[in-house]
Amino acid sequence: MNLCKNIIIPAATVLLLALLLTRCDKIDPPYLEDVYFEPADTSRTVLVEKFTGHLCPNCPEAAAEAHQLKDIYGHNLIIISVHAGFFSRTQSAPYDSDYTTSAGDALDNHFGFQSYPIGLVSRQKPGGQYRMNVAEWSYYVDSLANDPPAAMLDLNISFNASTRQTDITVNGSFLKDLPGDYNLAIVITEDSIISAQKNNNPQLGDTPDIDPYVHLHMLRTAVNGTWGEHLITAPRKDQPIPEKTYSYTLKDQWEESNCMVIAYIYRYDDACGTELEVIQAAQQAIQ
Amino acid sequence: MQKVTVITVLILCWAFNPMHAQQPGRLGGNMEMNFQSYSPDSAIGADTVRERVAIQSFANLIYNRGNLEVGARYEIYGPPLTGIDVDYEGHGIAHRYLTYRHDLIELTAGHFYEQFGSGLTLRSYREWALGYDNAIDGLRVRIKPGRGITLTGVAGRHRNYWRSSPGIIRGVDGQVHVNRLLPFLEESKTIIMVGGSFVSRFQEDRSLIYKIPENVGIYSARADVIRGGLRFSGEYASKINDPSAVNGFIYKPGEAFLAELMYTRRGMGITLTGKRMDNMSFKSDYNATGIPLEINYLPPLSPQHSWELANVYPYATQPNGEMGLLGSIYYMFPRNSTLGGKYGTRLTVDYSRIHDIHREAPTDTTTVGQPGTLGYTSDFFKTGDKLFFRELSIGLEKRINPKWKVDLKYMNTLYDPLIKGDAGHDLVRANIAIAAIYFTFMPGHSLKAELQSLTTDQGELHEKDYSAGDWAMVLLEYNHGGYFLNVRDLYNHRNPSAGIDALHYLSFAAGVTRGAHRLALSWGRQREGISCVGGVCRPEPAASGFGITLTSNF
Amino acid sequence: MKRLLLILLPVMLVFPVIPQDTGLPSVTVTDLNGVPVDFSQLHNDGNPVILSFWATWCTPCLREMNAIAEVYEQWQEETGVLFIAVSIDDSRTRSRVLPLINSNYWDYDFFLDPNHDLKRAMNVNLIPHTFLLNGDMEVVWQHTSYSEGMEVKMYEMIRKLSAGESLDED
Repeated sequence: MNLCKNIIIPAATVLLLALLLTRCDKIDPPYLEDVYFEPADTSRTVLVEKFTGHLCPNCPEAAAEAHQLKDIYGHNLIIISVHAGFFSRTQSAPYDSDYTTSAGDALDNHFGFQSYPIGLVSRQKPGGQYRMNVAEWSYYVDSLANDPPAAMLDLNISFNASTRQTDITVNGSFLKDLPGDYNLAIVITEDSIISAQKNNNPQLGDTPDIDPYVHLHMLRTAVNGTWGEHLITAPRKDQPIPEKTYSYTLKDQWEESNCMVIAYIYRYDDACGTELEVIQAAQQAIQ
Repeated sequence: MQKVTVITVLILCWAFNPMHAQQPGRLGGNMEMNFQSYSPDSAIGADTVRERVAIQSFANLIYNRGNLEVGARYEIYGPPLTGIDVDYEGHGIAHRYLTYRHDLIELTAGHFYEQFGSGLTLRSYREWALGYDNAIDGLRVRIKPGRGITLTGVAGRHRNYWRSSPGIIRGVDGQVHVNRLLPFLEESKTIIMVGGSFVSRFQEDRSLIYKIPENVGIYSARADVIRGGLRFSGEYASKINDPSAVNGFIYKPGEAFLAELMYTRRGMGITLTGKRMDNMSFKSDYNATGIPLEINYLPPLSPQHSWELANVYPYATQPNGEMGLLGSIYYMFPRNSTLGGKYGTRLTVDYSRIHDIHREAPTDTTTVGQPGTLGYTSDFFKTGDKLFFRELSIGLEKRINPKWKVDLKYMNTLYDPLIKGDAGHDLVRANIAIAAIYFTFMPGHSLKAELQSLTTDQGELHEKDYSAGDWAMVLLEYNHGGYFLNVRDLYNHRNPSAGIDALHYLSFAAGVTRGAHRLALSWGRQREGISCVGGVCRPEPAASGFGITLTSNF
Repeated sequence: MKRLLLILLPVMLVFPVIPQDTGLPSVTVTDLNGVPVDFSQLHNDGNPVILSFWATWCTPCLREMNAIAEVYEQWQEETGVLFIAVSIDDSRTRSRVLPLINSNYWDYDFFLDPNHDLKRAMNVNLIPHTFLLNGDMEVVWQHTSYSEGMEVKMYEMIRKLSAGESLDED
């Protein structure tokens, strides 16, 4: 009883009062940070896979954030817009276009996303989860873009306009000793697809529909499968990347001058698939 | 996690140590198990669920002995039911705590639930049916230094599915019952209670674009005054700059005001509630959006309905700004009067009206809500142009004779689909009529019939909205000796969406209750909708299949 | 470690051999005038108690309370039973509690549990959830959900408790 009265209660009271005095941080304008990025000679290129859908009214915000980041990080940031899931269903016009892909659906299923917009930043999983809210992207994009790269990745494209055949050659070299298995995945995206998009944010355009809306970085196909194919096991520093070549015939409805080929190397442990980090990526326009 | 598990096991071992046999204390708990199978049913918009079946369950155990209480909850989701966040998938000890109580002090280590005042600054709670649990994992101290005074301090992180919130929450609250504190007021006819709280969140600034305040504080003051049948209760809260994904990274301080005035005496009651919320979302992660990680609670200002068709257009608080009024009348027409009849007739009338707040650009060079600016300025007393919600509801309850009882309800609702996340649509005007008839035809045997209707003025919609249009519902239920059996047909007889025809949602349910154990089986279609408990709403996808719910208390 | 727990937990779930329910939990609720009350201190002078969890939005709860209201006076005269009604309404619906009580002419003992502290301590899942307590405030029977006529069965048990007879649970 005495212990309680004489020690615990005063101590608890002091603790409560100390909490009361916790300071608050009042921010004065300007509220924006000065952001700049200086690429090194060999930089790590960050891959943002943005999951979206034309029926997702909060997705234009994610697109705006991605563009803002692209302006800062330039070549060191690659964006893929994956149209998948509930918000990419087709409906009556103007939402009658199907932008889903089997690769996009497979990724959406694998990562178990429910609420859109959501993203993957080089498939990092801080705190054990892959999903990353839009507002968190910038932090991870910046820290990864400033990381020394683990590999140099070169991507060469030759396009035959008459047959629409695209030949893709990938080579390069590793810059570090790395553990585990690595896959190489090649995808094609298309810019400037014009159709309708749901929108909730009057800052970004009309609500509830922005029509016409310009969809950028839309995932069109995975050239060598959703998960790509095995590239190498436990590469050593200065070991060259085994040269890989692919051929793909562009679909007629894709505008070749808006198409990009993206290659990325990522950790792939077949046993449990728990590590999928993208260690390097590269992008090249088809024309 | 490992450490936590070890500690839990140790505590439980202690609790069951046979040395304690003479003084065994008290062990209790409860559990619930939900099972649902999913059949693809494209007619109602039910997508294929990969796993085909979902099962989720929890079991709570609480052990009390003397001054100590220990508790733990095990949860398993394999996977969670559709609509519950998939991040719950997995299993483990989701909740564990130890509480020590003495005359003047109470200490809790581990997970706890807490509410300061009406919740404007802090509320942690759990709604299993919604998959909502923002228990704080940390430390709580409650002391009663004098008669009528209670002080509470908390520190910790939110539960965030199977992880913890990035932000740390610290808070204190004081509540004073003035009449009990001051002896000369003990006999006073006027009862006064006052309180205040302060809560702050610490989270590292990880934004490259915005200067994020790492310590964000929110404080409030409240008072309750009672004199006879007249009561007043009010709380004001204010929050400093808190740019977040919810408010679109604006730096304006937030404020909230909630006031209730009530007069009541036997047979009747009148209440008037006013509310204003301005930029009051406060989460333990400034990057988070959606339902999880709320530090505070902003009660929605509209009556909560339990009838199916009264919940097609449920109101949910708009944390970025709203202001409104709710007036309610409760009256019992006395027995043996014309309107009262032999048993009296109860009348409830509610009228609520909720607007957006008024917003003006803070400077000539920025727009309202522009990220990275103050955002806007707002006149406290001015309502915005936008009407979010208006509802009139009239309810009558009447017992006709010992065998028959009738509940009637009429509602007229004006609803902005923005409330459920669809901006830029026309307001929906809905008329809802409900009749429930209870008939006890033999002692212990009763029948219930519900007839419900909802009609709207919606014109053609180019997107698919499975809850749009006109609805009718018939439910028949038979109850006897703890058993129930019901059949329900929910009929969407007009849907203005392109591509949706008139649809029946037929379902059957049966169940048995024995003491505190309840088993319910269901089979049929569930409509796509929103389910809300308290202030939290979550979308509920359509489903078709077989379900089992088991609840138990031991 | 986790495996051990998985084994341990089911064992504990079928562990009702430990005597339970000696009195009510020490949780603070408030009365309708905001006075904090330690729930473990409640008693009814050795007479039985009905303890019921309810909310203003729970229609079966209101039906149960109305049904008992019809016979409550008679029950009290015959057995001295006390009906304690704990509202779990949160700050959204809290202001509806008192007008609803008054407009129904209910004469029960009311307490407020707005953040469900008592509800959790009593392991209540669904409401209505009604407990029957003996004169020592020990739970002797409990029931969840309500259907018409259930109060008749409850009253048989209250009479037995009041007369000091044992309850034979079915």
